[in-house]
Amino acid sequence: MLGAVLFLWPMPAEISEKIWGDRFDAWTTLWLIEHLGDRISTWNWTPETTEILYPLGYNLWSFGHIALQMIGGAMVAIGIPLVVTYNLLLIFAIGTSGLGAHALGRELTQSHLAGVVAGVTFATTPYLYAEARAGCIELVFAGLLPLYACTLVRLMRKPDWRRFGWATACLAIIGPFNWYYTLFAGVLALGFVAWQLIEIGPQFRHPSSATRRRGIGMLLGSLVLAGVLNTPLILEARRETPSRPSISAELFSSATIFDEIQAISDGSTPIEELTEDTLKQVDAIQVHFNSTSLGSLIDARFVANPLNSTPGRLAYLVGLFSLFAAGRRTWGWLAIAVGATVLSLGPYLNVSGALTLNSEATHWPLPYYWAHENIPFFSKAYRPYRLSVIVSTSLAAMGAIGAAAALRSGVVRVPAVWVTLLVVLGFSQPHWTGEKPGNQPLADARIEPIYTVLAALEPGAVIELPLHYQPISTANARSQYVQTKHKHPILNSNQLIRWPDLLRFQEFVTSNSALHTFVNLSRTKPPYVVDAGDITALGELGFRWVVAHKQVPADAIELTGDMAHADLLGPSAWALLEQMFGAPVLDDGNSVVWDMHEATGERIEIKASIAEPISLDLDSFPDNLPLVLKNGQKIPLFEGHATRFTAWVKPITEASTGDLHLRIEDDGVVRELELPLLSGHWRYVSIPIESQGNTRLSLVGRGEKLLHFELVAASVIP
Amino acid sequence: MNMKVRLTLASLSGMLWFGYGSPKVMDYIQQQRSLGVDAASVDNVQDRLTEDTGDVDEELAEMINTLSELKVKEEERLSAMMALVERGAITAAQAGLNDLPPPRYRMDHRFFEPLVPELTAMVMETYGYAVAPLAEIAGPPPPGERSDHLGILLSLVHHRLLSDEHAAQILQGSFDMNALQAKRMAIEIALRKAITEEDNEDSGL
Repeated sequence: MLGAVLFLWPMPAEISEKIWGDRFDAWTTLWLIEHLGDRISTWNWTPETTEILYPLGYNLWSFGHIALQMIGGAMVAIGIPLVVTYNLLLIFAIGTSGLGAHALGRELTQSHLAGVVAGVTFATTPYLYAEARAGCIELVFAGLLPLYACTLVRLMRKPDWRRFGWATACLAIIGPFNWYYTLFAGVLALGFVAWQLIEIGPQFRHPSSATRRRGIGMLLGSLVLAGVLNTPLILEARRETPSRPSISAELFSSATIFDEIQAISDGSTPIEELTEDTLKQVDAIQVHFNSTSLGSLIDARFVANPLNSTPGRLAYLVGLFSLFAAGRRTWGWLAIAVGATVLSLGPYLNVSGALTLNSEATHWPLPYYWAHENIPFFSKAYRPYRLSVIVSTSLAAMGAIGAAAALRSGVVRVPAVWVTLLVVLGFSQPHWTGEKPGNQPLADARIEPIYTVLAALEPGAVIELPLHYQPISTANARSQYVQTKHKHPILNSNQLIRWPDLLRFQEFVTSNSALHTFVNLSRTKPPYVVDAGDITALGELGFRWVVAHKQVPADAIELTGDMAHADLLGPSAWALLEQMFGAPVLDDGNSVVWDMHEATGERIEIKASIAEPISLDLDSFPDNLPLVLKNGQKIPLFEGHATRFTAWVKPITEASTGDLHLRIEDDGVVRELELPLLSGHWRYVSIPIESQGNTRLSLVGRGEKLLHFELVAASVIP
Repeated sequence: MNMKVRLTLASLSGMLWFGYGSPKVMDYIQQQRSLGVDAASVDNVQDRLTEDTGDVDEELAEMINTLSELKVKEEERLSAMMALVERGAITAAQAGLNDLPPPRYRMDHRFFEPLVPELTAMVMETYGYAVAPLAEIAGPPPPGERSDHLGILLSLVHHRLLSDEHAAQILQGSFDMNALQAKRMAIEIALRKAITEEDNEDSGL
């Protein structure tokens, strides 16, 4: 567990306020843990909830695996704070992964030190770390997989009903924690059986093979029995991925299809244009995006992005040493590792990790393609890179065997020192190797004070703006997380990646002009038209509060780049909301809450954009390259008549209000106004110009240091 | 083979692979990736159209002409930037090329010269945001690869070998180059779409 603390550092130092987490899974998991905590406290076990996706409701089985989150829920129910619970689960998951692999290594070698080698090899892979960073705690809780391998080894060595029971129980219990790993455990078990059969060879019927024959029979029997035990749960958990569409080379190599799917994935395709077919295409292409590239395998660096993750250099080196040290005793595990590696490459070989495959690659389907299309249930493993956890298990087993061989040879002096060195080396990897992801900033999990105030307001469902139909931004994910504070049901959901849920959401929002307008409001230009009756209808459905933000957390993380732009409402959107709902009931400068009961009750129409965009020299740079200003330097913005200047601004370096000014020159008078800046956040700026004549606007640096910042959607209202 | 020999061989293999083999293979993969992209650029589309014995679509021909003009303008902007630099400074910049930090800004390299945003960012980070007009210079830049010239400019900025005035002109030049490439990207995408549609029609799809 100390190793896990070092591995996940500096999170343990800020365990109650910050998390490792990206824009999606971590926040969703936090919500689920809190929600399950409430369920435990109230002893409410109905699968449906309307706390999210109100009033349509969401089935909790759609989360698939919830056992670990249920443990978290119990911790919350007894009073442990939510964020602390989440972080403790993560430390626990890494720690138990090491323990599970230790058990395997110890069983294989009868040596604790060799078991430690296996534990370090398995628990310190970039794969587990990257999943921890992404917030997929159920994937980090991987210790059951080597533990299951341990039960297989025990069963094969001495096939009796007690060991049969342990193997069956271990496999059956993996499912509720993680269905992927159930499938992977099955793959591992079949690989293990194949290895045993090959080793026995023509001696299969010979009396000397009786123990192995019995072991193989019991192993296969335990697989079947575990499957039967899991059947009731599997039927429910199938909701997570109701059906997997077929995959094809054309799908993965067409730039046109890629562009269409990308537009859906980033939530910019108009919601009314979504169809079941296109959403199934989005599902199908995930197989390609989630396949390990040959480049990632060869590089094997310590990375933060799960899609580029592998067992990593340390695990490969441990495997290599063991191969040399223990020779043929490692071959069986090596064969499983190689097989799983090939499967993790996905349906076609992607050499460089390109987003679309070249035509040569599509001529040669890999074994995964055949398995996906032909083996029942295999298509549920639609993220092939995750198969690398089987590779890690095998490398850990090899590591133990190799370490035991080296230790017993007497060549290694003071073995405890060497193993301790490996432990330190392994668990400290995020801080010194590869991308050094341990040095990157944590996500702030504190909830804005306005939600505490919102919690005290009268009951009524909440709509957070803008509405998105895909999990595209941190702010969107946090809308579900902050529900744990205000406790009002919300229409927003970060869980619309399942197409049946998304189509229900589509039908609901497109039937109401207000909701339809709210979808992707940040990136949709006028005209906006909202019928009076539709606002009333929302009130009748139980909606009460509308929340919008003038401060949005920045989103520059590795996985898919900065998507915070999707949350930045422009001046026309703000004008629409003011016309619809009048004065807000809450406005703390960062967020605004309107009461639908205060709606004007009239039809609202904004025919065209109320603002004129300002073009900047950097507009043509697709990657948001920051502007940089020294003290006194200025960037000319606009010359002409304007009544108001609006923009979203984000400092990239440490900055505070006062470091950047808007300079207004008119009629020979020069004024400078400070722009509000907060590090790590986008801030909406709306400044009245208060001038009748010609005005010149520019941004001026006023900080002591160079100020790096981004400016988007800069515009003036004539 | 005794254990000592085995462990020594394992160490040597690991060092050889991760110290030499893996970086070499990764370099090769990255190189192939940048070469293997197939944008409908002026170079490959012109070849296709000249092979075509039928009539060339006027709209396509116009697009290709515009692409050629944009490319020439990009070259001229680079010439203008290089003209600011004296021979001695170029030698000093070349000597400092190895000190340059790795690129940070990822752009679609089918359309954008990846070093241009690096240059823009580095000028701003070193000299702040200050722009000054950059004279028009007709004709291509001095002999050599475009990336070599941009590398020299980057090195000049990184080592602060430019005056504030020249830095401001180079910032303007980098803005211009990128704007030209953005225009080129828009046309190339339209061209690719047009050609794909034409191919589909030819194949009866």
